[in-house]
Amino acid sequence: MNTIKTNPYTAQSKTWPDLDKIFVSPESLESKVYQNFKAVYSEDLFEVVTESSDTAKFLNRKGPLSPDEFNQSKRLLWLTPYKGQFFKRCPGATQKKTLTCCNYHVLNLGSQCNMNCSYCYLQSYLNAPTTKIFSNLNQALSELKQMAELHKDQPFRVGTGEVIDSLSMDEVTLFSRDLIEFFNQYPQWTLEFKTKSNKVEQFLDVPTKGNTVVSWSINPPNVINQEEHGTARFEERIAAAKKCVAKGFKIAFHIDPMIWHPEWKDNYTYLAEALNHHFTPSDVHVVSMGTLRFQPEQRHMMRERFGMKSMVTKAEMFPSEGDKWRYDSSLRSEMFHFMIQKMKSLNPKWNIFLCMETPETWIQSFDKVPSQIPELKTLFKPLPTI
Amino acid sequence: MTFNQWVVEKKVKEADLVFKLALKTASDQLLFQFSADQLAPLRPSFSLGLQLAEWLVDLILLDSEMVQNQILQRSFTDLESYKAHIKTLRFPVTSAQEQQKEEQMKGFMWPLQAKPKFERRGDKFGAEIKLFISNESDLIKAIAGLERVQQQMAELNPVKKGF
Repeated sequence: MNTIKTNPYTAQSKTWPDLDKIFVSPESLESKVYQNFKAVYSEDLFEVVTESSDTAKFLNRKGPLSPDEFNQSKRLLWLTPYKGQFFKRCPGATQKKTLTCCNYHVLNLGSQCNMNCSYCYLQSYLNAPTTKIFSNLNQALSELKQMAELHKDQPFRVGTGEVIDSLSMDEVTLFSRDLIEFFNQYPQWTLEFKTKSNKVEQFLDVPTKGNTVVSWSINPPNVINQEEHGTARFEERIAAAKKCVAKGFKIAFHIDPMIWHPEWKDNYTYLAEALNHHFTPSDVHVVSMGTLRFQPEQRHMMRERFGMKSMVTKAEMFPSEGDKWRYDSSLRSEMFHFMIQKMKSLNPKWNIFLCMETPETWIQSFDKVPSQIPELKTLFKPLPTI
Repeated sequence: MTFNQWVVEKKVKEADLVFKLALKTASDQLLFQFSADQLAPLRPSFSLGLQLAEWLVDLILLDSEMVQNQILQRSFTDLESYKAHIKTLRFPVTSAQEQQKEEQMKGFMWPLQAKPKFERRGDKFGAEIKLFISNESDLIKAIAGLERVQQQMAELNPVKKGF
């Protein structure tokens, strides 16, 4: 971990994510996020990148990463403005012909992650040699404002955790504070942070209109310990979620990816019982579920980075919808059915849905598709295409 | 034929063998060489050969002793039995489930003496049934027979309803 410094905003002394170098584009020097990084990291880590320098060539390099380059990209950070469209539909929603997906939209404020899950899809997705944090949040918010003004009354759900964890570096970036305040202006819209960290203190004092959902991707403790390296442990995530509930934030859990292992029934039972013990369905906006899935080409990177003792690399996977590999369809249905039944037997009011699944799996797991489940109708209702 | 000769014959590129990069120790690499040399004389096609070689890498990394005892110490005369054996080692849970499902489905009373052909298609394992229909009466018999199979299936796997 890097030097302990005090964050001027939260006035807390902390250890910050490990970084070897922080590159800064000249356009980012005036940004608030650059000042936030300067406040907590040593001066000698920073390098302002001039155009056409060798460093700039390295940073702009595009192409597949080797396992070593992928590892290194977690420790090199580039503060730079994003030049494309911030606001997009979730990739699942673009495969409506094969998958039954909810109306999720994503706002990418960076890419790569300082944690290290064995199954992480970024291993087959990223092609840049650094972690990026985008310094033009104002532009993202103005893009979002245009959309929100246009569709003020539509229930858009916007997540910031698609290609970067929403909160694992948020103690430094403090993006959450501006985002919560922005979404307070549009109560029909929902902001969702998705994380495997326990970093929530930095925004708990920001008032919410109840439309910010802090969500955790969660698994039983044994899966977290074995497969989700560098993330907050099970109890830490639960504790962070409780802090959010206490401050009036809605929370959600994504039991995703569910990972098969010989003792999966016992361990997922523990997870269901723990969630039910610590929270009530009224605290928890939704519980989504998904089973392990990845692009086939990702298996080589995972095998090299995590060996074959991982439950993920040794999983028995088959070609499936959306060009992904998944468990056998009967096993997926069994896992979903087991977990749904477990949660509903503990409390029938849990609001559960499946993530990136086929209509067949929905029917085998729920005996229904989302449009036939009253509490899910709104989530899956078609929205204007943007 | 050695594996290296197979690689040349099938015009396999280095990038096709990317899975070998996971073999980090000399002993694992040597074990792969031995086991791949056992595979090559069975003359697999380009894609099947690569798939089997990749499964060998997985198995070496999972349990090199198992590869020595359960692959290298056996002799294989045909590709089909080699593939079935390696698949059972690499996919033990699925293989057992497939076998169980096959036994169950074989026990169904398929109409018109149809013989199910079992196979995996992507993430699903099931039976392909061919029915020869020459008139309406055949069709009525087939539908009634399939309904009977559906009932047998439902008794084995009760539909989970009620959420």
